[in-house]
Amino acid sequence: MKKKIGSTLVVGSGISGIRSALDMAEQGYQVTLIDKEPHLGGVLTQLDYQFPTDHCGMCKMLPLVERDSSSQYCLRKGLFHENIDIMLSTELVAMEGEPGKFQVTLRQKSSIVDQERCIGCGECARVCPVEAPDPFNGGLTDRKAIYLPVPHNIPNAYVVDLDACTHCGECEKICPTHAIDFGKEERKKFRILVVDDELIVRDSLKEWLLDEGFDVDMAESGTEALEKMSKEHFHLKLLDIKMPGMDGVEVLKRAKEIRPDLPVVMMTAYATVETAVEAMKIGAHDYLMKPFDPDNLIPLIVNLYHDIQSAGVKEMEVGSVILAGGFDSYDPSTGKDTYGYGLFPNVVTSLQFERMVSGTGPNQGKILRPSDGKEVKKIAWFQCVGSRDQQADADFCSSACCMFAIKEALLAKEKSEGQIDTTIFYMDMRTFGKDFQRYRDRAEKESGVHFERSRVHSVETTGKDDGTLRVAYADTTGTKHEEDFDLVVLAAGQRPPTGAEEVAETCGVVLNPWGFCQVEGFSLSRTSSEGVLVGGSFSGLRDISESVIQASSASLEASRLIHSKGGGLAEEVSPETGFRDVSREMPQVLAVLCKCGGTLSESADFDEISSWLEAQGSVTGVHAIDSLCTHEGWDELKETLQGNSANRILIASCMPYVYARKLRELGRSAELNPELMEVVDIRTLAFPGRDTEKEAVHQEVRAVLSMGIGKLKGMDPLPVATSRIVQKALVVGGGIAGMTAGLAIADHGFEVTLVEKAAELGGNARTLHRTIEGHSPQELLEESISKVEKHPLIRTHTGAKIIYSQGHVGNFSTSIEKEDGQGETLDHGVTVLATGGIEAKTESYSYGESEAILTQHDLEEKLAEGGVEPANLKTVAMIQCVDSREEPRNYCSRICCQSALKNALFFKKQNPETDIYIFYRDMMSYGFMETYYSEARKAGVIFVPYDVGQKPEVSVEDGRPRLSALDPILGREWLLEPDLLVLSTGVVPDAGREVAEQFGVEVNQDGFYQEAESKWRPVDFIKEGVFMCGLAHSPRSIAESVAMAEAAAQRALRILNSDRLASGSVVAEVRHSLCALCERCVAFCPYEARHHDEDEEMIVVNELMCQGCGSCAAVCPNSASVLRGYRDQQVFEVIDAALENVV
Amino acid sequence: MEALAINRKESKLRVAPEWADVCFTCGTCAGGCPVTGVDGMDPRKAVRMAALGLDQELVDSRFPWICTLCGRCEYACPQGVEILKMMRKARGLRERDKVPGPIHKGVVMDLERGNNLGIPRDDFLFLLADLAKEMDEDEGFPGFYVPVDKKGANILLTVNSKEPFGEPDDMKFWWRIFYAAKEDWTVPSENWEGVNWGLFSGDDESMKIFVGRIVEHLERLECKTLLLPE
Repeated sequence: MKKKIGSTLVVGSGISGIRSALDMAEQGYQVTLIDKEPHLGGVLTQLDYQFPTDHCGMCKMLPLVERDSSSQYCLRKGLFHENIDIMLSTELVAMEGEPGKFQVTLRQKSSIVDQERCIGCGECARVCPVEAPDPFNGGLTDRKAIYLPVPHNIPNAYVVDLDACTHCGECEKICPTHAIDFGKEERKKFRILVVDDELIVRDSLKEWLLDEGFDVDMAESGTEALEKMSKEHFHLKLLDIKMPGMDGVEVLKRAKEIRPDLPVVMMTAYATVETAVEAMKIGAHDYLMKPFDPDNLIPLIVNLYHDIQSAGVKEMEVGSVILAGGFDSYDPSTGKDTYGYGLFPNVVTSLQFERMVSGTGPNQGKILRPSDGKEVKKIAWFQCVGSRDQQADADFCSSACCMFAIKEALLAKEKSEGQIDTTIFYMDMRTFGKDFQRYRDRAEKESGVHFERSRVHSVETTGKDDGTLRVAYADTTGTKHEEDFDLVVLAAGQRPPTGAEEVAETCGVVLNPWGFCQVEGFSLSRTSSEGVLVGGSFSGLRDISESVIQASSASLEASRLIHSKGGGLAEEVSPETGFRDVSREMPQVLAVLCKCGGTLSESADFDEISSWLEAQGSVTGVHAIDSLCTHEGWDELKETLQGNSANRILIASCMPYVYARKLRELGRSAELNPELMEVVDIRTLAFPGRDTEKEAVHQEVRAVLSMGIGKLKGMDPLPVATSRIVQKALVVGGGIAGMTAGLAIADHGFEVTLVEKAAELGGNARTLHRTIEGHSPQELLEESISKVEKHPLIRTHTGAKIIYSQGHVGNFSTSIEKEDGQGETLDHGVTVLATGGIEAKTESYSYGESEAILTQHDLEEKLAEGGVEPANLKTVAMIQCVDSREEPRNYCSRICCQSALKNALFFKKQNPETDIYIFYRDMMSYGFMETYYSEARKAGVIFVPYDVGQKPEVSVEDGRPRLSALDPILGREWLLEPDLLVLSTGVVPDAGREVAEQFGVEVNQDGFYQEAESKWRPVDFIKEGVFMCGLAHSPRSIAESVAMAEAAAQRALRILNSDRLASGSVVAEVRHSLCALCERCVAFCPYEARHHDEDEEMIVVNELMCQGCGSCAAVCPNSASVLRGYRDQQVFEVIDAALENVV
Repeated sequence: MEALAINRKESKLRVAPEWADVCFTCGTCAGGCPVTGVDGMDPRKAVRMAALGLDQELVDSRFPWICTLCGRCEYACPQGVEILKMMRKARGLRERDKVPGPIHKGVVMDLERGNNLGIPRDDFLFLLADLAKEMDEDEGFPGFYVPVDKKGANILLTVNSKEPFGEPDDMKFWWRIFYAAKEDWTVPSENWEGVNWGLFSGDDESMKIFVGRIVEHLERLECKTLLLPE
């Protein structure tokens, strides 16, 4: 694969960080992925179940093409990719330079435990005397000070929580692989200067610090200290504030002149704390309070030592920076806390509840009351806790909590087989995403989740002190109810991530009034600082699919920038993978045994195992290495392979996953396809401490070794196939989404053909004149059209239509009919479908019977033409959800509430005297849109909720609409004669169904394009190489369409990037002589990688699309479909080997 | 069902958006109100009426008077609707002779006679002297007396007229404390009422007068501290 020059730093390794990193890596950029936490995955490590499948599915983000360059196992367990360097416990501390050429400084905290040596045996945690609340379980359980950040990681190494650790050293003593090092040896070289005028302070400090192994010197005055500093080198200075002569602050100032980088810690009595704080402003590192107690002081100084000494600082140059720092949750115990969070144990946050239902949670997934462990029978969810709350300084919606709550309620139902009673208390159920409304309806109608439109005031106890919670609430009619619950789950809202301000300052990006990253204009990923992009919830909480889209938009922009600065243009060809052709050789296995630094010799005899191995057929050599995970060990292996004629390598060591990346590298140096190497785990079997006889251990070791040999012998030595790629794109649809996608691809140097059926480019944006934020769609439109028209790589056909398309990823061929009636056939490697949507037509509410009855779209146009005079309007009424959110069009169109708010605010601004009524079901002002809803109420717009079963009624008399509706709050009727009645009819797809048929892709029941996976692959079709964006996927705003178009382009670019793409090494093949052409495999293939070629009369597998899942092999009645690397004979041999050695 | 007829422009209850307009109609107030349901009480309805400019309906309703002004609703309101101000304003808009119960009568009495129950000056002073004598002679507080209109005292004490009227001995609770603490205190001989019913009847004008009287005492008697036991 060609390697691009250019690199990116991704800050934050949650969903969006991983998405951005993989995007860039798949395009060939070098990526550094950092996270301040000691684990990957962000909040997702804690979430087991995702709406709408109620499973995880994160692995679906893994590369589908060139997939051997990355790990292919559960992403929640870990990730590696050839082009991604992962640095955990790391923060971005400085950034200089300019876009395309930033110098960044990263600071990595020491984890005390050598992550490569740690084998995760857990002995350390067993002896650790400290218990601290475990954030992984939301504090519902305790963990030790040395712990696994995520219980299911692979590899899984322990880390030390230095804040909780007492430095007792027990773990260091017991660690069998000597992976834990508190740096006692290093401490001897760490020189501390103690400056204090009191002898007793100096003496006692010296004694304590010497005991801890530090090197200590003392000075009794500032003058002496400065003199010593000028002559000798120190690493840390402890400086008293109150001293005769020169005081501490003065000494600090002068010390900063002599040695600006020397960390100085002030020592202060209570009386001089303010001075100490002042000193920190001048540059002191920290301060310590007198009087000193060695039990408290020593851990503090040791922490300082780790902070100063062990932190690794790395400087590097990157072309762009992607911020994906995620979000923090609102702490409901702050503020007024009328729900008693932190007071009542049975009041938990939604994240804590998520842990409660998890198999790795506090009760292995059983839902029990935290107060007494009793089974939970009744749960209440409270929405909008710390969101949509002016008193919590949160005039925003946290967007994701409504679906989160529904999912949790369904999980509770599922886990209890319907026994748990569930109620969701809400203000507006914000089901604004694709398929959300039907999910909600199913929860209510099929699973019996109760939805109560009411915000609860407070939670009390029943007075019996048994942990049961009493909830009083008023229903919509105003009737008050009291109900008891076992558990109350609070939908804690979003807050900016810790450290957001520092990161913003470092990168020069602007934050919004609530501390989230501000995005620019019509982009969801551009920040105020060029070259710094934002992905995911750092710019406001969003669900997984939105995060994934935005993250890809960020990586597209990052890549475009690097490309425009010349980085991406220069391509260097990495040395061809010149693997030896061993296809005509008999299998010759070299077995390499790792002794794990001698730890295994106690329970297994390596000489005996070696001689047994040598006696095995196909084994041509055995080599034992002391410690394969060390550099020395690895180099020894490389040397052994040099000039060795073996064509299969069996490595017997530990955790095979860990070696996947290293094997790629080894393959290159040994010129042997890494698929012909196998790692088996003997360490688990031979690790000391198992209560097993040596001979039994040997037997087990022999079994896994012979299984490995069996597998290797049967491996197909043929090199993996590569396919030629036509490096051109076809974009169907010339609206904002299509143009954005086309430009994004063309800006990377690839030819794009843009086909638009209308006579002009622009689509819906032609009729939009302003957004609720005040941006001008017309400016965006003009700019986009002009760029498209001027772009040398974009050919545009307006007034053209698609006739026919065939082919597969990398090689499509599409015929179009141009405006002049001429046909043309285009060859392209990828297809982007951006066929848009249109405002739905309606016959409801007397539409068409009066000129005063308009749709939002009609209104928009009339306003633009000057056909409506706001000054003359006495009354305006708007009805939301017209024909929407009920069958057959049971989805939310997402943009109508903002259109209504936008137009209502416009009218109020033009004429505050106009009475404006908005009849709504749930106001969908998600995210920061909420402020406009607040603004509209402040401006006096009257909002009247209505129920779908009792809609407003409209009639027309003398050309004037009359509207009657119930005001559910007052239980009385509205009778209005509005001058304008505006209907929000929503969005329907434009040409989705026909185009989908032409390109052989799917649409959903509403005619919108069906994505491969709603959360993890939101812009992909199942059919690889075809992507979607804009309204044709689902209703969305312009900015959201732009982001999606960029994401689609990003997905397309990873294919266009090379002239050839390699399939995975595990792919399916067809033995045509056995094939009966029954097509069962075609129907079963979940990746649509197979088709029946009727000309050739055979089943053809597209090796790029095939993901090696093996479904075809399983359903084939003739064993004609086989999987490379898992052929029958080979698998049988492995099974035989496993059984043969069992007693 | 009578259709809603609104007149927001004339409304006196939509003083600021925070008084009602910003309301979500989420029901937090109604769920938390201790008297929701009492005679149909529903604070959300009251706020909705205010937001729609249905002033007269709200003023004529019992809502503002059932409300105890306890403030639970406002404490938790996510939009910070100033329900208490709005409710008081609604009380104030009621015609005075239609103010329920004795509170408006008390206000009139206080304006005329210096306390809500109209206790004459002499009766009040006689009562104080009598009670003080009991404490001095029979209850173990030798030398106790009630300092009336004492200039330069530290504490100025107001009185809830209910006590001299019906529970005179209750006044002794504070007196005993003062005695034990050797406190320097005083009671005004007139206009000593400490219970400002103007607050409850929404009568800002009278409330101001009553407060003004206390301020006047403080200035005239040069007291440093005000003690309003109510």
